[in-house]
Amino acid sequence: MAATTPVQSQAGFDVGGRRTYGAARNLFGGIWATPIVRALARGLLTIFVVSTMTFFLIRLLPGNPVDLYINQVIAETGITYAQAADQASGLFNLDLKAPLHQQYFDFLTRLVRGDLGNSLLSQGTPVTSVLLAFLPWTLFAVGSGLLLSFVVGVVLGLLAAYWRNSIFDTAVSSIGSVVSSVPNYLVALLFVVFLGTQLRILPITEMRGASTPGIAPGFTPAYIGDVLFHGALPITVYFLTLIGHWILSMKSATLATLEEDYVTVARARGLADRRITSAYIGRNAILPLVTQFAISAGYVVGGALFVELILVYPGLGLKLYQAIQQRDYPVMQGIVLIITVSVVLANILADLLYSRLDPRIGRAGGAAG
Amino acid sequence: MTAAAATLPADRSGGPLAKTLDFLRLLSGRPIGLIGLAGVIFFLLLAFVVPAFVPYQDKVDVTAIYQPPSLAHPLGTDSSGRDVWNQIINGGRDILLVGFLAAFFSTVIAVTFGSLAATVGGRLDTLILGITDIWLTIPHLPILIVAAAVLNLSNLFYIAFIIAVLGWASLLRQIRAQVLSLRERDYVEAARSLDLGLFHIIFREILPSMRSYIVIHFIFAMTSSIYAVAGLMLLGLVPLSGINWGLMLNLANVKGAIYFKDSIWYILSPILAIMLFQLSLVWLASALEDIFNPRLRSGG
Amino acid sequence: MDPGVVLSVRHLAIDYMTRRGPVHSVRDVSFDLHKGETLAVIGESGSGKTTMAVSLVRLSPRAARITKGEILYRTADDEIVDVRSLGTEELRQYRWSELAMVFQAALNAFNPVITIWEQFHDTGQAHGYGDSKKIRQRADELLRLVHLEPDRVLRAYPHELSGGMRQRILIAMSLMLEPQVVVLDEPTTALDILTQRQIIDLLGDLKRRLGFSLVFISHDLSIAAELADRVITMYSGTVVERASVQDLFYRPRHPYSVGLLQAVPRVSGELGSVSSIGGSPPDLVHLPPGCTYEPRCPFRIPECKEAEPALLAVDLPDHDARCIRWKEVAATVGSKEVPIAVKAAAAS
Repeated sequence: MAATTPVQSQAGFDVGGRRTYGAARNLFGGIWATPIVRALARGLLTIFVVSTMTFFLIRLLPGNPVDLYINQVIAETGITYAQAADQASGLFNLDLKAPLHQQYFDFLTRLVRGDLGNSLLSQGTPVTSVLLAFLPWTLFAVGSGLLLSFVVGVVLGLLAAYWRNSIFDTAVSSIGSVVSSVPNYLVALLFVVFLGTQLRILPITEMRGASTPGIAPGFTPAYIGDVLFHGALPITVYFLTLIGHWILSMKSATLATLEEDYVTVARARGLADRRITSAYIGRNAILPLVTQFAISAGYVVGGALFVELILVYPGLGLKLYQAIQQRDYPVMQGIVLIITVSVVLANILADLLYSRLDPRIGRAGGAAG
Repeated sequence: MTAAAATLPADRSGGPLAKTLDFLRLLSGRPIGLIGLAGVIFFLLLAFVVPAFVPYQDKVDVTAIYQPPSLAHPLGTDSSGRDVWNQIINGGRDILLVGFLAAFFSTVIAVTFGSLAATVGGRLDTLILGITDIWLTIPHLPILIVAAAVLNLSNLFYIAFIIAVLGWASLLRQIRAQVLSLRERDYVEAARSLDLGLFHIIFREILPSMRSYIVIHFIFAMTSSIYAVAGLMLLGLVPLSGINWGLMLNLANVKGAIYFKDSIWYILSPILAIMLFQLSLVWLASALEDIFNPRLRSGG
Repeated sequence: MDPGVVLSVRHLAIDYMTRRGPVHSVRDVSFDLHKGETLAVIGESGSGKTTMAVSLVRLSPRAARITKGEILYRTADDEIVDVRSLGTEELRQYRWSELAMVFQAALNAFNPVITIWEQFHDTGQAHGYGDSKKIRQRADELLRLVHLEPDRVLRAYPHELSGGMRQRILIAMSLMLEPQVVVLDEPTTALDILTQRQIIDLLGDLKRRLGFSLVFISHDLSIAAELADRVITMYSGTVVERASVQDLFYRPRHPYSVGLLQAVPRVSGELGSVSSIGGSPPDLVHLPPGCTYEPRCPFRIPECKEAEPALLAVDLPDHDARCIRWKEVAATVGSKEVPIAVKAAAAS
């Protein structure tokens, strides 16, 4: 995983932390220098690129679904191409008679207005409402897993660096690296197979879904407990597959920070260990991890599909799989877009957080007098 | 051109055999790396060499469904009585080949444009970096999955190519950073002042001294492309031909094998195969990193 | 320990554990620092001077080990403290409030993610001063002493300040708790020549005003000439000469000191009159049995190879040299107040 976010690269830092000034900085001057504006611009560009990609995938490439659908309808019902095209238009929300660039433009304008079309299966159900039903569960499971693995991983990594080459370090580092090398779907499968089927420790079938039908939603202990019960497996899978990376990254960042002069000077100043660990070592070591957090959010959300499929958890990933099975292209498109938007937002948040934590970024700084 | 030797570990003169023995000697100090290397070689042989002697046997035997391991069937049988061990032998080729090709294409893209961006700098660098940043934010897996679903891919190269096209961004950043750090070295300055030309500088000065770095990251790229292609197979989106480990996982999920007690060997075999190969790659790459990157060495 | 001595180092020896074997980077260093005195420790890189200095606050790296010797410190209440046996909490208190060790790398001496004010605050808090107002007053006072503007500096982050400013802030911070001893390791090395001048003047000024005892480590003889009262020269981990600054510059008694002095180019010297000490320092893992300077020494005789000499008192008071040929060195160098290089030029 790369170690810097787009904002950092614009501010001029590469993976090694060295400043390399890009020409864009000089091009646009003042406004461009604000991290927020740059991050937003990049985010919008990314969303634009992704939506264009999905548009072309679905419409343009040979063997694309729209043409297939038209041919299929013609073969099945014998209507004319024009009529089939009309049907397809309605279904795919595309004006097939219009020239291609017009279709693309319409597509974009609708997108900006938040209109993602209707699901092919349930006629009249807007894609947005389908997404809203499934999105929260993915966010909940992935978010919890990411957060937990980050917090625990960072602490373990810090300790592993402090007690370098101890049994703790060897154990934590090796277990961490082994577990994080295993693809998440394999971990999920192993859970189901061993804890569920073989050893019957967990009630796998009952843990499917996001909540038990009988319990009413709300901030009640019963509901929250139920949600956690159902979410436990996916969260655990995310936790296990991610924690290794945090442990190793934090360990190496901490080891590098421990060698910095300001740590030795802090000791010479007689500062207490606790203060040195938190404000001098911790706050510096964690900086590269903040940006990694954002990038990993993208990977985890993307890979959530496998986990949700195997554990039968009704998130966006599972819905995407179903949409693929059912050839529900608008829903597929919508899910990819919403995932992109979430990742872009996560990146922006991480960039903002980073620029708060590291005073060397985003200030008109430099040596003075 | 021998200036590049200044940054490599002691370049001993000697034929390929001497160099291989040298490398093994270095590796022997790192048992994890040796295990990794052994694992990689084992699976490569298993997937590419053994099938020539043990071809795929599609022998259906409904009387022997989900049998536990025995002499006849070292890993048991599947839902139709076919031998699992046979499937494992013949099931690695497609995954490993796609994994290798995708990592290869990715590396080529990353090395070419990353070193170009770092060496030329200026507007080209900003442009390439901008595209890379956007590419990094794009969620690769969902797009890959949608592409696979929409395009009905059946050609190995095509699949590898798409995986590579989606996944080069992170590697490019790392290559670029590494080249940037080497750009300031004396021998590059010398080459530049001698006006030796861009391609010469990149391909005969900088990249050769990055050999080990590129190899290590190629191996890591392989792990992520295997993750991607096995995942696609798990979803049933790229069945390709015959049998492969991912397809076995797909069938296990679809046919409910993960919920049967008896089918444990059928489901465990591809899981272990993929898992152990990934681990071997990671261990090998980590050991290589340890050898070739002095900064990571502990002590001394 | 004499009543006027505030820091006494006796036969200190430090080994570095490496794969090749223990590196004896400090072997038998002894010196006394009197109240209000400025002591210069002069030596090449590899002479062990920084290793020795860092051990005074027990901040040596993990691989280093003090194998023998004592570090004795006299508090303001006239209590003698054995630094080597201080407990963790006592050691933490001792650091900075009794002996402030200021490292060479002022460029990276500050935590980059917090302001300079916070770093002052941290220092005060660590030593029991809870009142932020008082800490602020003290910081203002100290920063003005080093000719910096408190408002601007305290609000800033380290990367917003120049190297010279950071060095001055570090010096100011070192005086915060009124330590009796301040140790500066290469205080001017990373700075440009104008800033060097400023720092040297500043140090002299502060010393006059506040009266602390100062030890500074350097390879630069000229700073010793400006600031020091006494000088010790170190070579291959041990002290080879101890003398007052006048004695060392005009009447050295060890061949290494003579070599060092001759190697300093003179503004009024002729072209081609710069000399250097031939050869290189010994391997600190496998030391020769005799004098370690012998291979490069113009005064050597066969007896020098037999055993390493002890520090011998020479013909001047409070002056020792680790050389059995000091009398011959004295004869060559003489005792008049004339710079060594001039004497050398006159002799040739």
